[in-house]
Amino acid sequence: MGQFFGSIYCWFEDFFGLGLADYLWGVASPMSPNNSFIGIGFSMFGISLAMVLVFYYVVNHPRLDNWWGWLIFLGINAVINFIVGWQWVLKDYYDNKMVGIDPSTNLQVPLNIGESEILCFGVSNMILSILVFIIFSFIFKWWSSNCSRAPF
Amino acid sequence: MLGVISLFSCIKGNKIEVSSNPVDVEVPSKKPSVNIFIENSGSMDGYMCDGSQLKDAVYDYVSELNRYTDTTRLYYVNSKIIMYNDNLTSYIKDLNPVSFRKAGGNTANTDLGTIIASVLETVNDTTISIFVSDCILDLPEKDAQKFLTNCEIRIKDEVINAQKRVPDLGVEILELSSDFNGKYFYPNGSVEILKDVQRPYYIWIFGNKNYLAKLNAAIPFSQLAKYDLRGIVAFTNQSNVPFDIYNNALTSKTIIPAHGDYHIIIQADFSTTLQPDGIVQDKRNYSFNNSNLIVDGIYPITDSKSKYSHYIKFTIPKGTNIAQDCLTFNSPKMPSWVSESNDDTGANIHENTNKTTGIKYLIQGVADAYKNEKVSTTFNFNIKRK
Repeated sequence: MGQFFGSIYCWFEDFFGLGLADYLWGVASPMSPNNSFIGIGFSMFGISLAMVLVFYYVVNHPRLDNWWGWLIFLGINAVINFIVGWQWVLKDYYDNKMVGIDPSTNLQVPLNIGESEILCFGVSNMILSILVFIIFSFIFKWWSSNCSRAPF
Repeated sequence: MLGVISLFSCIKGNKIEVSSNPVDVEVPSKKPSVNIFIENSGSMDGYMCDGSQLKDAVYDYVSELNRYTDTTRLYYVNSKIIMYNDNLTSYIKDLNPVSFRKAGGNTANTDLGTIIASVLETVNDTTISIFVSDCILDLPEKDAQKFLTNCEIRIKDEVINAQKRVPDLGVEILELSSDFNGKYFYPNGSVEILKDVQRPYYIWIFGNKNYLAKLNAAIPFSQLAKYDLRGIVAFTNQSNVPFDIYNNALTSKTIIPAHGDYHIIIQADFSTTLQPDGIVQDKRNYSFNNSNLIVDGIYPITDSKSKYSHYIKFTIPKGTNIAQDCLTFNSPKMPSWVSESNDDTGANIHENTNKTTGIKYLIQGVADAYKNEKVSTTFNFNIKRK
């Protein structure tokens, strides 16, 4: 799963930076040797799935059985996933986990990752969550009693 | 859905895993013995002025060596080897023309081939010999070129003989410069007094390369820079160099491609190659079996606790498929300072105070003895797709 999530997040690696991509793969820092894409990816899938299920089966309101009702939930899902992805990685940044090893001195040096790259990662997580929300919507909409025609 | 996303994700470059086989390395546990030979022929008198850099360099280097050696024996050398039976301080104090004469031997002529042969005879697997000399050949007035070629062959022959006794023989030659106040002997026998000039001299170090490596690590030649160290050349056979291979961040053997390229680091201990930093860090001395692979750079490791001396950054470019490859550190060409320091005639000392008559031929003789050693070391590694 690490390879799977890593590969889809890395569609955006030029956007959020190769340094951060390597860090999230778990190969850039001795402080974070595991693949972080797994946790973030599962969270993004889980939140998006939950939002789809809430929209079609919990709220399931006839007034929302149209494109804008669906779009509201897509927007909420996008904002939540932006915040989760951004804060998840930002926490590592403030915990000083984003350090590499200088091969010359064997001392820790900060990786070339800034807050702007982390913000871009949040945006990437948001875009992927929109894609996943759309896909889940077309899987689960058919069995909704009131919203099966949303978004169309 | 997952299938569709997976399909897209597969288009992305795949991870690889790098590995290498362990390298057997002989690490000497005992301390070596060291013999110090200073040539005491007449041409060396000029270096023995008060406060000359030669004296300071030898004193400093040998006293540092004492920390890491079992025994240190001191000698003068000319037509014969003369043992010095006092301590290092007295030895250095006695580096003057009067003591040189008193020590004995033939100080009028220098047969460097014989001297180097004598010094090499004292070398064995646990004994290192250091020879300090101006290395000026006594050129005959006629057939100088034949004489120089003969000297080259003589040195080659002596080094090959020593290689038979000490298979891992290493030879390091350092060129330094010192104050010189004294006589210069022309090939035609005439003498000229040189005052307050700088003249080159040479420190030859012979011994088992594993011991030389150990001493070089403890007392790097960079410590001699303050004594006007001008050039280093070293020769030895192919070495097994311990190394490890990692990703760019030294955290894993799994390599994630960056824009399709794989960036990899080899950490290695080059000490047994005896090659100086400038040679080790010269990318032109490296080649891969697969010519698509690129050496990005070689850098020193400054961490004193590290078991490696340098790291090599290299790239496997996008689209290059390999399962195994070999990075070769080739034996370097003769450094340019050897030719630049050479004077073929010894006839015009005023324009050539910074040169030594025939030094190129002496060093080339050593190089000839190692001419079959085309490779300094190799790094074999494996690549596995993940």
